[in-house]
Amino acid sequence: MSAIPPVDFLALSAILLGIGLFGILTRRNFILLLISIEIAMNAAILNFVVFAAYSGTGGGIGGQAAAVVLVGLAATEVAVGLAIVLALNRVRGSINVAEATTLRQ
Amino acid sequence: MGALDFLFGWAFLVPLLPALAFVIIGLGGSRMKRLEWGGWVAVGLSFVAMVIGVLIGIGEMLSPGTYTDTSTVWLNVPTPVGPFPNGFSLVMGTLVDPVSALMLLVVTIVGFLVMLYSIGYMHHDRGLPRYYAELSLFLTAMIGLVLSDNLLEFFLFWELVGVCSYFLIGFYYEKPSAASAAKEAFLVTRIGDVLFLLGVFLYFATYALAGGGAGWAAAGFKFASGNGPFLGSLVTSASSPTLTIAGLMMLAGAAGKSAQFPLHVWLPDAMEGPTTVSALIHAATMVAAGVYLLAVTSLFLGFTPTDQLAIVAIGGFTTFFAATMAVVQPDIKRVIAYSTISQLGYMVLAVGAGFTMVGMFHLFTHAFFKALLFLAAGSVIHAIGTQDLFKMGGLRKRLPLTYVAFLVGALSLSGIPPFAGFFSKDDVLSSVYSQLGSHPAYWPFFLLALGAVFLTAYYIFRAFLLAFHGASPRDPALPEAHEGPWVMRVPLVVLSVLAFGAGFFVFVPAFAGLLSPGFTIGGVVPALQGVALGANVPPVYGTADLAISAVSLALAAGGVLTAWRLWGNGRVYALPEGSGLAPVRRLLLNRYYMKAGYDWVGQRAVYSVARAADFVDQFIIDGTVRGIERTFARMSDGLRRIQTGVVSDYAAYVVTGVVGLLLLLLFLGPWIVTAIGGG
Amino acid sequence: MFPIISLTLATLLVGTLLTFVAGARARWVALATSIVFLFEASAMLLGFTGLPQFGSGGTGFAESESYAWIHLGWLTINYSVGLDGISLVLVLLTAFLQLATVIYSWEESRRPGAWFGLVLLTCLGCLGVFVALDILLFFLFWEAVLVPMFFLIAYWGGPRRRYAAMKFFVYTHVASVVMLVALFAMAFYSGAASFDFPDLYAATHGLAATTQVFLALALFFGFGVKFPIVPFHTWLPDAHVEAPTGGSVLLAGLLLKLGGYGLIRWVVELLPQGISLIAPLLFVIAMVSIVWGSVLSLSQRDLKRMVAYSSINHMGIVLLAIAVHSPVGLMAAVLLMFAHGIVSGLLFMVSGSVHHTYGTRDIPSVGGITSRTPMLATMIMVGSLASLGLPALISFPAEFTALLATWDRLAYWVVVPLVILVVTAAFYLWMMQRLLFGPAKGGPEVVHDLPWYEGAGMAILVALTVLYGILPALLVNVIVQSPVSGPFP
Repeated sequence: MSAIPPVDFLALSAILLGIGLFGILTRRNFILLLISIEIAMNAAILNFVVFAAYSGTGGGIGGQAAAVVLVGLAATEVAVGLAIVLALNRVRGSINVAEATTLRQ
Repeated sequence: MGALDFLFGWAFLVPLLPALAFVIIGLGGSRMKRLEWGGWVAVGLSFVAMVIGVLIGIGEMLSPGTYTDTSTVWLNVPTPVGPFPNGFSLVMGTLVDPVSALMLLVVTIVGFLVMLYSIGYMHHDRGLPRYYAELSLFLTAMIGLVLSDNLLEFFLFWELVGVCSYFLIGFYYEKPSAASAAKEAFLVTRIGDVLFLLGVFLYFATYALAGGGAGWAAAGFKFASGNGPFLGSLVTSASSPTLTIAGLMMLAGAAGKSAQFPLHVWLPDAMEGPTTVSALIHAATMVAAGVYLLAVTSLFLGFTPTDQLAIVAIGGFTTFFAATMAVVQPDIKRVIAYSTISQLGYMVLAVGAGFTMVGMFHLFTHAFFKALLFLAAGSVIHAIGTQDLFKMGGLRKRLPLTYVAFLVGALSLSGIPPFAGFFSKDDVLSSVYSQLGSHPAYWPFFLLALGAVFLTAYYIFRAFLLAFHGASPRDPALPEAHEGPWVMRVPLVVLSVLAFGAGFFVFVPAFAGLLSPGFTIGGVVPALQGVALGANVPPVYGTADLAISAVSLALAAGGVLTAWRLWGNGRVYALPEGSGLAPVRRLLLNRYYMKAGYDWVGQRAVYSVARAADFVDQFIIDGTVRGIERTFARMSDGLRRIQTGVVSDYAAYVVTGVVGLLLLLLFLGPWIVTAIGGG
Repeated sequence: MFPIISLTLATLLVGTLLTFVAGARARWVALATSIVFLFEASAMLLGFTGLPQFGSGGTGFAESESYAWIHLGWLTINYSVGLDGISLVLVLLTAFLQLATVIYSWEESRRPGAWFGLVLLTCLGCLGVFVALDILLFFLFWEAVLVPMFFLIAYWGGPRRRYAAMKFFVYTHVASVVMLVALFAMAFYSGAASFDFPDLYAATHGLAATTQVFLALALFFGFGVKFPIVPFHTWLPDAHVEAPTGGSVLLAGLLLKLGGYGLIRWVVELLPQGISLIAPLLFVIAMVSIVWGSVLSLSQRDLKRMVAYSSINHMGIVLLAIAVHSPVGLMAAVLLMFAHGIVSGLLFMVSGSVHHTYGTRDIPSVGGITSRTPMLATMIMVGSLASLGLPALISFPAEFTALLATWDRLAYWVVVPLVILVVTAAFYLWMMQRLLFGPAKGGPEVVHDLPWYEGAGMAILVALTVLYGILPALLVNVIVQSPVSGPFP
């Protein structure tokens, strides 16, 4: 049916995860951080879908379902994350995560 | 007999009547319109108690026997313990037998008289409700002790009288000396008490299966065990070290309560309490409980010969030892207190020599003349407000009744015939004398007891002459003395009659029945004179060995005369300057430095150990704990540096950790699988 | 069967929750809960007729309830609760102490809602420990006690409250972890069918002696810290001195009992061979605790610290009676735990009242309390005399039977606790001499005697002290309804 082997998808997923991780580790801007997390999460969703699609008969529906749930989860996460960004900006006037270390004390 | 059974069946009421007084006064005494009303409640109820007590005493005289009533199980322990597969139970019951009837007479009569006297003596005191509540509680506990039908109930009430004594000695609690004396009394008797408890355990073990199939201890440590054999008869030889130790523990308990050497120090200090308390508790009843303990132990459990020698030694030595200290005392109450210790020594001596009932007879007469002496002294203190003999003098004219009462008490104490003390003290001496042949080791203690007769007569007449003779008080600042109200005079008269005549009771056959060895306990005839003595010599009361009587009478007369020579007619004898006796006098006044020694042990030695232990606890044990704590704190201090608070750093740690873990599994995983041997 | 135990747990739980949210009316909710709890405990007592025997379907516990909770293939955990004589007596103690504590702290003004809620929560935890028959349930309640007590000390405590609360928490928590591991190890090694006590009972007796010894040692450490045993006792004086009065009452009255109860229920009953093999060690530790607690009490200046050390002494006697490992010893141990719960509760209350009234608990600097506050003085006297073992007050029958049991097993070694009885009497009497008697000294010019609520809280405990002192059979007849402390084989 399909000519594209699953390894390609997995490679794409790994690349997405790598980009996401790189962003998480290097960005100090909260919004960029959120975007990076979303990218990394998309890697996971892609994996679910790929394995669902290639798992053969019947069993694939669970992976699809997980993907849908994760998409919803990502949306809520962004909502909460942006709310934090707004609050942070109001309180500190900056959205640099390196400065938000109050909880450490 | 039916009527008597009925009467004895109500014996439990006797302790409950003062208990009722305790509850009424304790709850409502301070709300009564006049504080004396609470006092009259106590007097009234103790009068009813006395009536029943005397009836029981008479009933027991008419028909000697043992009546037990063990209706209440106090504590049932149905679990296997020691030799009892089915456990044991501790009962609360009343036991009326000749010995307890005799004690009951003493306790209820003196108890009522002192209650009555206190109305007058304590009338000015704001703490009157407290006083009567505590005194009623004491009377309850003391009667309970007398009527106990088992060793454990006895111990329970024994502790209760101790705590009542503690409260009453500390009655004037705002005086530091009274507070200190109360503590001392409780502590010193407590030492005796724990040893007593050890003795109970030892008897528990020894007599566990004695007294028939049920077992003495299983049946509740009872003094009379139904139809079982008399327990004392089980002491067959001196070869039982457990029994010997048990007996010594009982002696220790008795020594604490009866203020015998070396646990005597508390009694003179206990004079800090009101004089009425001294009369009731520290002369007539509670301190006699120690002797009573020895008596019931010797009757029901038995002493080994070693125990007997120890008891004789303690008793004989104490008679003399305490009498020497009384000789120099300037305080009228303390003179009588030392005299009490000394007289209790006589009783202990008699019990130790195997003549239990002789000791009990001396206890009986002593209760009356000693209470009389205390109440007379109280009358003096009430009149002039001092206890210092050297401030008194010439009180004969002002206080004629008190004068006569004190004289009767002094003559009785000195053992001058025909006063009561003569009969009982003489019986003690002659009965110990009768044992000297078979027990030569008794000799020195017999001689000490004999010597104490002289000292007794001397010190009591010294006090008597100092207080009452002479022209006028030596301290002119003292107030005019007046006799107390009738409530104080009546007890003096009644006690004077008893102190004079109680000795004649032995000639009344019914009363002698209480003291005679023929009565039965638990259906068998016990060997009253101590089971270890092979041939029992029944004492013939009142007609003692004439030679001994003559010697003791001569000694007593000598004591009186010496006192007259030195102190008569208002003379005040002072030791000549540089006399060789001065150091002796100092030694006696300082009570052989025993009190100072005990204080040193308590305050310095024990307390220093406690302080040192506290140091160890705080700095070594807890220091180790804190050291561990600090080590962890330092470690975490180092580790918390990596907690920068920057989210990205944490993310980096997570990634590093996950990657590290994956690598680890990649390389180590196969190795682990082969090592465990799993699939 | 009517689920009285679950009902009681539910009552306390609901009461606790309501108290937390009741705000100013929290004390009324707490009082109502306590009274209902007391009624339920009484109902348990009245309905308690005897125990079904082990085996042939009998669980060995009265009022027992068991519901499936966590069932995995290899693990069966039930919600199981039940009563025997030992736990019933301790449940009663919990009910009494809770009521007395609530009344005593009636006028607590600092966040009363939280205060009464935490008090109730502590009691809930203790109740759960006493009735739980499943390892996991037992452990949940066991830990649940620590949390409210931590906050009681840390928020309402004295000047060093943070340190004391932390020390208490960490110390006892470390012990709990060891205990938990040992409990699980016991369940798994014995191959018991479930975590339920009856199943464990059927299985653990077959464990090898060495295994029993190791398990018993680990469990003894876990429970012993709560006792507390010397040398793991130093958290106790600190916790007591810093804790608020109500916290001290619960700490001494209930929390210390958890250790003793745990030792009897989970070690003595389940590992009989283990406990008899480590008995010599227990004897030594018990003797040391008895001596150490008493001698240290003698040197204390702080009234509360003195009472705290005397607790170590008394719990040492409890340990001694348990170590004797005879039915009468265990009976005495439980009786003494009850007695100590009541008496130490009373003594901590009077310490608190002395502090409120005179502004200090330093014994040498206050004097003449009797003439200034006679009610308070009376309470101090009753508490002290009860604690030093006066007959007709509750400790006497307990100490007597404990010493009798000790004599039965150790013969003349009983001299050690006996002699220490004198020392115990000494420090109480010395304290009374300095604090109660003599001329008035220290404190404010004008002092007021006990407020009604403090007096009422103490009066409950005094009444119990006298009642059970005169009629100890009321308790003993219940305690012996147990496989280990009773006449059952």
